[in-house]
Amino acid sequence: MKKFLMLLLVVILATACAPTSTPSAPVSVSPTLAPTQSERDKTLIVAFSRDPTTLDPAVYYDFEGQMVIDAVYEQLVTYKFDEAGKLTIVPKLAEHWDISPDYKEYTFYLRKDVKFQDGEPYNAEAQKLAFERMASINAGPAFMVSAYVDKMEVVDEYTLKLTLNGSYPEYLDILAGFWCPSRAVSPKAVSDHTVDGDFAKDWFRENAVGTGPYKLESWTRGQQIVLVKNDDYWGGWAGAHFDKVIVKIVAEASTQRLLLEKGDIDAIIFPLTNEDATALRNVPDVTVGGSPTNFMILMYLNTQIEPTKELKVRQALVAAFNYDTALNQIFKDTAVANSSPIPIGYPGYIEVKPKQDLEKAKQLLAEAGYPPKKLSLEIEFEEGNQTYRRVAEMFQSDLRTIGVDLSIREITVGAAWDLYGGGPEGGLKIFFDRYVPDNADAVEIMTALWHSKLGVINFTFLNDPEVDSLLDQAMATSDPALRAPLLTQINQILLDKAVAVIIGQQVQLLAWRNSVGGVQVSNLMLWGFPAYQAYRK
Amino acid sequence: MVQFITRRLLWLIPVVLGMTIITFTISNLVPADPIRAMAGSNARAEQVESLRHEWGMDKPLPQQYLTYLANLMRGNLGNSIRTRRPVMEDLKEYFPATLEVTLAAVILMVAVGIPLGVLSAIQQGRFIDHVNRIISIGGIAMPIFFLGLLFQLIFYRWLNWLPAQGRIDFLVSPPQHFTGLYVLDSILSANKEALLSSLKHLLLPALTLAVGSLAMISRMVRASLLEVLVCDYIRTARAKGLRNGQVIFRHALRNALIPMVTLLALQVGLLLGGAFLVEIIFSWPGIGLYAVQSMLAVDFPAIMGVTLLLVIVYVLVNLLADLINGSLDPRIRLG
Repeated sequence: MKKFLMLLLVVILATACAPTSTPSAPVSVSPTLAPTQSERDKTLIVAFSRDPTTLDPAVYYDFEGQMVIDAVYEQLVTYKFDEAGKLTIVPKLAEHWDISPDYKEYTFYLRKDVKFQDGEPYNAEAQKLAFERMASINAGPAFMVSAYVDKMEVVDEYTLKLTLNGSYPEYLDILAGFWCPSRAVSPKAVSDHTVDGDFAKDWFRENAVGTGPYKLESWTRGQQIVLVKNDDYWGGWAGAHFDKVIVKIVAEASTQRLLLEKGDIDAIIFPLTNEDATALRNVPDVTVGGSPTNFMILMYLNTQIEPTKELKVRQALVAAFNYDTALNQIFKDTAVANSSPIPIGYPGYIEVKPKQDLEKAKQLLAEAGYPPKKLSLEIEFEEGNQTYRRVAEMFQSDLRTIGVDLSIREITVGAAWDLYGGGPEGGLKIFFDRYVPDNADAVEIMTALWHSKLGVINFTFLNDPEVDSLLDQAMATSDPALRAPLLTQINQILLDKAVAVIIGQQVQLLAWRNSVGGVQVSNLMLWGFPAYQAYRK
Repeated sequence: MVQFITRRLLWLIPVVLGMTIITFTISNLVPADPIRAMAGSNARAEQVESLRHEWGMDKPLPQQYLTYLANLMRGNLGNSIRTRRPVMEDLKEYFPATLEVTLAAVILMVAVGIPLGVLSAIQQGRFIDHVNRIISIGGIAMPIFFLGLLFQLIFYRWLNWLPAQGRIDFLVSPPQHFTGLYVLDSILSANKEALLSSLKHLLLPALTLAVGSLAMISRMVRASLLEVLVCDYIRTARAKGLRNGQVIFRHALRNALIPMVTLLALQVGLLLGGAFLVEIIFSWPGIGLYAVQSMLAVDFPAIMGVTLLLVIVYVLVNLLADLINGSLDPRIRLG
């Protein structure tokens, strides 16, 4: 017995001491004191479901940790909603700018009072480095530099001139989007941590030095990211702000809800499902707020393979879909109706309100030769998405009533890209997804989706010379007044050709405690809100 | 003994090799393009190709596999596609959390399960035996995720005794790093506040994880002990005039424990599997959470790394079980 106990002890100790060589976890030597109420009041605690992949603005191209990137790094220009709810581009690190009439030269006049969080001055050289660094690392949104910028010139200490390789009226939009090439990183930190000319790529993955209002204090993977206020922030600390921001990684949605209900966290910044939103609406001290994004939710119909190659079949599918039930019963608060190929309020937007018409669908199918031929279709969407599954199942049962078989296939994001890489025959038949644009430029969005050559996510494999030529014209024109009619024309063609079952626009729902003020929910930041504007009431 | 251990450890090589072949094949059979997913939806084709090249994914599969093996020999598990750091570094960071909760569960299992079983056996058919039976059957039948949510609701939402997630309070800094096991680290650094906080956080996940196995162990101990208690040598021991406690603990329990150790080792395997669910429910930053996130991101190197680690742990635990059995019963002593 004694031997057994000894052995057990040895086993426990041996296994416990095994990973002692781990070098990287944060070490806190200072004795910590129990949090006081005032400390908690000055701390904003939000919950998110998973760790960011990276905090490097030159690599960052996803949603995780948006709130952190936004708090630490700043861009030249940014979007702002005006009173009418329209997006305008406003200064941030650039005080003002000139754009040459041919939209080839962009000159930025930078703020002179900006310092990086490590004390380094912010100037044109530093801004130039941010662009160069992104292009050189060539990850994430690097194409926003490499595909556009021909050369960069430091005119004087606070003036930077970009010369583009063509005429790009949309380039200011590209700089203003959340994922953009202009988030400034400290040149000193870059040079201090560069290994083999990698522009400190490894170091910036989990460290951050920008110009923003909050500094990164620590990141404990799987647990939390702690930000503390940057005392020297150029925007100043007048008015009410939080001293500290903690992003807690809480994997389970139901746990997040429990924490919010009890007040242990101040906000959930991961998009809420309908079930969670409904439950949280009944909690007295919690607000649920949402804002329509420019994410279009749609079913892309493959225009190059049978049977969806047939216009009549596509039109039948558009007619057979039950828009009302999908939006009112399934998506509920998480989407708004819009069946135009472009978000509401964008140039070229056409208001269309399709209604389910199974008789018409049946008729169109008969004209296309079904029956006597049997129509079998397949729909693919992101694995595990409950909402999409319910919509697909509803569509499946509606189609069954008119003699059409729809099989449902759930795939991972990686698998979707694999199938897309195979071209029209690759396996994407009806792809049910949402489109996330990088910025708010209508021509950019339409080109990505519908141009046969330049479309990077042309999931319908549309190859329409007329659409291509209209898009080319729109890209060549810089005048918004000329672009709008072209876009309207394109949208009308897309609707006539029934290239997709367009359901609506996603609404981002977040929940926060009523004690937090200044929560701005908008599609400027999708998973989170600007921490600097928030305060404790 | 040394020879036995060496032989068993050598067996690890074909096991690991076979495992890598299986996981590598499955990973590559799955139709998925992790590089395209990593590049982001609006990335240009050239950029995707350059990434593919950078990650060595443009090479033929056999070559990719050989590269993987060659790196493995040097202790390099490749880089995670999702976190973009070496998988080894990720595992080092996430594994101590899993180890902590699993060890705590094993301790609960042994410290509560065995005495409970003994109690039931000596009080056979009486009140305490019935209560234990009801708890045990409930514990075995209740799925882990349900139990976890139930505990959260009771102990966090209603009673407010224990926290619902994480390893330590929001505003308490983790203890100085020695082993990565917060409880142990807090003791080593004499950090009372961190110790209290991490113990409080550990209790619910460990309990959730342990309940099923604990119930199983206590039932097995009871059955095994009852079997032994009617043996001749027990009668002899009693006839010698030994005290009841001595008979039970020195003679009966020791023999009843042998099948228990093997079961315990198997249970550790189950616990590691169960840790996946517990870690998600309690946001416990262990390899379970890491594995699930990696799977969602089709992060092959990470998934292979986790599988490899679990296989090695499982083999080692079973080896330990054999060694413990040898020390309990000279007849199965090895070497």
